[in-house]
Amino acid sequence: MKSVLIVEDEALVALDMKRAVMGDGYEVVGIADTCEDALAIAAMTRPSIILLDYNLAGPLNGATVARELASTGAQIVFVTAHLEHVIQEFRQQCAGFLAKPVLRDELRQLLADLEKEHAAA
Amino acid sequence: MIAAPLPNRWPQVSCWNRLKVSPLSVRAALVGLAYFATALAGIELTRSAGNVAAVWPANAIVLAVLVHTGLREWKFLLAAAAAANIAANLVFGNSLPVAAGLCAANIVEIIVGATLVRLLLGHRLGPVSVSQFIQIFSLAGLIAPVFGALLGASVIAYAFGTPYVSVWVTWWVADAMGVLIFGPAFFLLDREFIRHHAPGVRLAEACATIVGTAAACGAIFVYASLPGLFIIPILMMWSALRFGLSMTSVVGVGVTVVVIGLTVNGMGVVAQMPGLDGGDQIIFLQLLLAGSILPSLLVASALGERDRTNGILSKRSRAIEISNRRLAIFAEQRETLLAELQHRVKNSLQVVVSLLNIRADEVRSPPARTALSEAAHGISAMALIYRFLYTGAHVDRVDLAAYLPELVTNLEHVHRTARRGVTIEVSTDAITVPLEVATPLALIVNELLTNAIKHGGGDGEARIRVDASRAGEDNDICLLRVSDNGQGLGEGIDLEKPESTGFEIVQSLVYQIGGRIAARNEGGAMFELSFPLPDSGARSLWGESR
Repeated sequence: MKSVLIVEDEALVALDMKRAVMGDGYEVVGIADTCEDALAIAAMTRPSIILLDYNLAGPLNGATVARELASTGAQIVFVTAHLEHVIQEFRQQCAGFLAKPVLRDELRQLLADLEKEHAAA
Repeated sequence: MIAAPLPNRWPQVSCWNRLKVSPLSVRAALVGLAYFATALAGIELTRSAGNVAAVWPANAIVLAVLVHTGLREWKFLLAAAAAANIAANLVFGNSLPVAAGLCAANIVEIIVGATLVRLLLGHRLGPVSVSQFIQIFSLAGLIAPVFGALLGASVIAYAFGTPYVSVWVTWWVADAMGVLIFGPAFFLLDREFIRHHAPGVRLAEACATIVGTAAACGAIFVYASLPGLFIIPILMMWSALRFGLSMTSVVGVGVTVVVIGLTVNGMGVVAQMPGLDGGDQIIFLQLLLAGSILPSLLVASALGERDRTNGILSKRSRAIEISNRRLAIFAEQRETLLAELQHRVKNSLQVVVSLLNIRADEVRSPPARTALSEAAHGISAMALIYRFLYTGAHVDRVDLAAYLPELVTNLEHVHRTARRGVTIEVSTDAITVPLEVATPLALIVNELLTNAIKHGGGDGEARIRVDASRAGEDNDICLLRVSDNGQGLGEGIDLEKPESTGFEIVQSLVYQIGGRIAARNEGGAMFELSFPLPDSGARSLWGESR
């Protein structure tokens, strides 16, 4: 079963994502609202997918830790209203991008596509 | 240190200010002394070469002082000049009537010249343009001496029996030369010039240029043959190119003094030229000086004007550059603020969508879940607008050609999982709509597409077309068609009295943007929405009754 780490500082949005991915059979290993927490949880749980927001609580934003999180082997999916900021810079490092507001169906579709790509690889 | 700007009044820019603030008696005495000294020099030349001076600088001095002085004080200064003129003539042995006559001629000339200059250019003589330079010296140097020459030649012709015409010509040329050569130094030697040149290396260079040019001209005049004299204009031109009008004028004065001084003392190429009597020598000297000095003065004046113009342009250019930088900063701040605002809107909409999703999880009834899901889609359609607002060239408008395909892709993406297959084709003209139209339009299209996806294609693949085009005589109407390949609309459907909530929402929003919507069956259902494009000036399609 694939594991997902949700890095999002809006509690309701994080809960919505959690329900969406759990409904499709993914395991949610944690929800982090800061970059520091995200790095700590990722190091401990080694998730296969990380849903990463750009604006987070604390001084750092998602972009500052995206490469470090990617180095854990997880597939990074940026879920942000700042899509224009990150899409150029992280086109290579990230597995996908979703622009907020994200519908559950969009999220599910992207995760399904990633799974297919992974299986094909 | 910040230099204080010079106020825009002539006393502050001219060295005559110093003269003006001193007591009137002192000024009159100074003018009288200066006039006396230059008149002695002029009369000395008269004795050496006929009865008229080669150059008469005395009038130029008084003329320059009068131009820079209030009218009330003219009479005192003119009286001092007149006294000096008579005294100089008496010193050289002229009778009192002759001295008085010559004095009258000179005073008339000065008054005419100063009046003409004041009338035409006022008394604010700072840096002058080429046209002003020509005007000043045409009025004071060419026109005023006509009157002086008329009177003066009469006196000399009567007193000494000299032919009137030749005396008139020599007088006129001498006085014109006096103003033209000495004038710029007196008229235009202002504080700007002094501040610009002193102190320092440049002042030393300027002084060296004056002495060096005068000495070089003297040497050329004495030792060179006639063609060697052509070097003098070149030396003058060097001053013009290097130092500007005032300094060129001063150099010209130096050259004039040297050349005339040598000739008077029988030295130099003109004095030793065979076949030239005193009068011819004067005319030759005048032509030589005029040809050497006047072109350089004109060039210096033009260069000065160019430098001033460049200075003004440079200042304006700097001001524009600063202004542009400020505008760029404002634009950047505005852009950042706008981006932040868009971001917050999208985040807030995300929270609303998430809340709807979470609530939908609790609902067991499929229609209720669908309703909540469709509400979330509507919010998503609205949010999509903000992405296009921010990235578009116009931050308050949405380009339908960019927005509609993206909206369609999102819906296609979402519904592909729920249905067998959905294909949506989009075709749009270049149409942009403002935000107040874009938001309801997004919801309308979302509703129509959701309806088409639901009912299009029956059990097969849903094929949907979205066409947006301009219509109307002035292309001021947007025509948007959404058609599918489904069973079509049922009999008796009346969009004016919608029975489903979806159509009611559509009808309300269509009304909001001043449009109309019609539906018919064409191989499936086809909805045709028309609404006025606000920038085209078109009014609501509902007419005045709306």
